[in-house]
Amino acid sequence: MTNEARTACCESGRKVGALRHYAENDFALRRRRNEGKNGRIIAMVGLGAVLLALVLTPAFSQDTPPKRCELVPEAWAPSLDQVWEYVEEKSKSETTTSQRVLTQTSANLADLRDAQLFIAYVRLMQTLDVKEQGELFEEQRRWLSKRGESARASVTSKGGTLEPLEYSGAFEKITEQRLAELRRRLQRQGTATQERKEKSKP
Amino acid sequence: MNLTPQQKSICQHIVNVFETGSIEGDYGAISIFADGPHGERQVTYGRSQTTELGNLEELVQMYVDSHGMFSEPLRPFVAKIGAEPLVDNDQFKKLLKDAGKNDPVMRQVQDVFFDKRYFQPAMEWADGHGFTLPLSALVIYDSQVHSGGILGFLRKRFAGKVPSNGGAEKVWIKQYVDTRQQWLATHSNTILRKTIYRTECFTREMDRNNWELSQLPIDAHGVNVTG
Repeated sequence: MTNEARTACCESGRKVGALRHYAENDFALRRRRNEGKNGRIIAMVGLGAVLLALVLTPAFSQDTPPKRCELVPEAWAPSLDQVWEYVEEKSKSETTTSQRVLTQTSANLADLRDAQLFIAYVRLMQTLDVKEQGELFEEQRRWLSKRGESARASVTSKGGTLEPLEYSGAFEKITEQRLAELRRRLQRQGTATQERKEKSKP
Repeated sequence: MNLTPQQKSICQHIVNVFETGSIEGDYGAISIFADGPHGERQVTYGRSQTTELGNLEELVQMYVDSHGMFSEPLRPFVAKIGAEPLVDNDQFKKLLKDAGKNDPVMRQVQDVFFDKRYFQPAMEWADGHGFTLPLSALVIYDSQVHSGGILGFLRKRFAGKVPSNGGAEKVWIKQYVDTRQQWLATHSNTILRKTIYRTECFTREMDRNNWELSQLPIDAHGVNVTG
């Protein structure tokens, strides 16, 4: 995929709604170009093509490989799992920590979890076609806007030094749940891709 | 609540140890947490931690007005605190850190500031509910610093009445400490459970009948506090 194509692909996935996306795909454009003779007909046929594309898309997408936005090289999959386990284990074995250290440790674990989620999100994004990427982007944006609210709602020690520890603990738990969800989807996507590859073998 | 200067000092030193690991407290401590009102990262600063989107502006304004070593370079930042993010401003953070570590004026300002934020409200609550004993003052002050006050949902978990409602002071404090200990020790956040060193300290002092905080030293999380 060229840089230009990648940019266009990502831009489409992020900003363009489903209707416009269908209107712009090659299938619909080809029909519109071939069938239009004058402006009125073009307009009508164009509209018809969009609707047709909407109706035919499931069948169409089975025959033609969907466009994907390659974000990172496929083999690049950094892991923070070991770092997370190390910080958690270290915090368990430490017996003489102050409130400040405990709060910092909790915040570190929350940051690491968030970074793990970021990695899973990018890797999942990588496996999706442009339409699905746009949907995941929106879903994640909505989830992010609620995460802070949910974490804050679980804080009982408002105005105390326990507040940031309670907050980061809740933040980490909520993020962990989302991470598990995205990893499940990633696994499903991986299995589906593998099956497609197996089927396409001669 | 009529505490002697030594009793007040003991309360503050014990809570300093709980918070920072040292009797004097860490006046230059800076941490970054993503715990702003909308999940923003923000600066948390000082001996008992005040936040960029909370009361840091007031603390820095007090310091600037006190003409400390770093007051002038910090002056332009006062209007920016809370108005624009300073969490990634290295100059601002370094000034705060240096002032806390090297300038006695910043230490005095923080003592006054945190006294007003935590100690005075705690003593007002204690007075208003009829508490008179120094160990009670320590327990209530600790709750003010740690949880922002005496937590209502914990009070509902035990039957004791506060002295102003005819209850026995020592009974109420013991029940409150036990309830708080139970809450902390069984909290879903495992890191938070470790903070039971606070309630364990109070239980030890109650067990040796040290209600006047006169038996010294007091073991605060492994550090001997003598006032």
